[in-house]
Amino acid sequence: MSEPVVDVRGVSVRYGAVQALDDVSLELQPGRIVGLLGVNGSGKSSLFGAIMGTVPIAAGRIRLFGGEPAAARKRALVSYVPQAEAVDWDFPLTVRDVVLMGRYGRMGPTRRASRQDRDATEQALQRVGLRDLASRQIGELSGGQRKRVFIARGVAQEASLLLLDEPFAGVDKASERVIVELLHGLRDEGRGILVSTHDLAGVPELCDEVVLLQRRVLFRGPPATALAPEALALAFGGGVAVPR
Amino acid sequence: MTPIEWLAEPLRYAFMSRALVVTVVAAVTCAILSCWLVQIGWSLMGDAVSHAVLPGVAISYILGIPFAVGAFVFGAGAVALIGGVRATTRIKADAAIGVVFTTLFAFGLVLISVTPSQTDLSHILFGNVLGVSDSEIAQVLVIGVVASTVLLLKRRDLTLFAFDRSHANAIGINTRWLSVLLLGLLALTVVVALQAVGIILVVAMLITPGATAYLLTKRFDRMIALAVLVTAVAALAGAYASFYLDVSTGGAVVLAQSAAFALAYLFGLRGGVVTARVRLARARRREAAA
Repeated sequence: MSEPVVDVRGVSVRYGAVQALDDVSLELQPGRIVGLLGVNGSGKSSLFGAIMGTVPIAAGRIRLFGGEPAAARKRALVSYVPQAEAVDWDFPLTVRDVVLMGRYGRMGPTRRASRQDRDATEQALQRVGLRDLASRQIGELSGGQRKRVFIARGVAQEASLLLLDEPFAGVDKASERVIVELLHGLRDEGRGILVSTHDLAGVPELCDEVVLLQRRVLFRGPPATALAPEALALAFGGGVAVPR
Repeated sequence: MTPIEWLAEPLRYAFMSRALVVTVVAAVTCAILSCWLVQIGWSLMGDAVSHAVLPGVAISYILGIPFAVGAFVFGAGAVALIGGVRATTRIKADAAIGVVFTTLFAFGLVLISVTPSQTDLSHILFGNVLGVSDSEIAQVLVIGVVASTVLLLKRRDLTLFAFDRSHANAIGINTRWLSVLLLGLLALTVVVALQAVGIILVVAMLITPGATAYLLTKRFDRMIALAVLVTAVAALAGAYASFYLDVSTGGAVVLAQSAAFALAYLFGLRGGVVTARVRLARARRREAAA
């Protein structure tokens, strides 16, 4: 088997007296989509932060593509799709501007776009179906289109690991299907995709494997088993409505 | 008097030409920087750094070193102190900023009060652009050009940093270094701007141009260009107004920038109050006609 895209072994994260992650291990193989499920405060953001190097880990280790995470980030292998609330949608940037940012890791120190960078940006826009809206300011898009902008950024980047934060929040059914198809396509090209969400919508269709997180890993397995009421009760407490 | 004569008249005075150069260089440098400050939400940092340089200016005069050196040391020191207080306590950002900059400002006041020197407090506080010396002009030019050049060269990284720090981290860009760079340039820019308008009004130069340009465009590169253009015009207008009306130069320059902001607020393409009303009325009329 090839090197895992993400290999998390026994990772703990602490903020002062608060233990955000406790001995968490998980693996993401290339060509797989793993869903990271948990309530708010279950440590999903901490785990993403640890993978992106913004949150220091107190114990354990993380390897990306078999090597140091910093080295993988420098090689522009990692792309991040932020949750909608974390983005300033009034920021004076067009859709194309944001997608082009995916190429920054491959550009020189002043980030001057080459012909190749522009071509990759146009192809990514085409792939997610936003070419006609490329000159719009990012706030002038629907919820689903907004998500696709950031997925396009990862495509333009030619990233081999995509981290998605709450990809289906504020997205209607039709757009959800478009996004799932898009992500399946990217997976089938051999990319590893890690999706963090507290919302079960879309998870069974999207993910190959689900990890239930509550500071520790409570469960790892196929979506059907993970979304069984007994497993969910562990992660979410009682009273969870299974979608659809 | 013909318009040409009207424009040329102030330039016959050496102090006025110098004032124009200093004002425009300072205003343009501030305008470029302000685009990121208003987007990141660091406007208050500009206020803090500008007040915190006061002891640095006083010490520079006492030691006879270029004012820019002392001012920069204290500006950068204020940034470091604010970061330190925030990192080691649970105090919120605005409180940490408030405590640090008022402390340093008060320290500056005390230093000046015990210094039997020619330093005139009101000149530092309110600017004395009509009295700048040759060495001060040189400092302003060098710092202004260096700061503007670095900002423009790193503009794409700074914009990514302002827009999406997580992505910057994910692709291996050192965001800590970018924030140090931006705050360092803020300290430098404050040093330039306080020559033009004084400590109290520097913050206007660091916020108003970016806020004005933000109301006018949907593209960040255009925002920078517009901020520079609007600010340069406002700086000249303010300086000329101060000459002909015999009013405070710093005050006139800032008021001219405020007037530009008011126009953008009312008639801006993006969120202009009047523009939006007109658009709405037109849309309704079209609907009624259809």
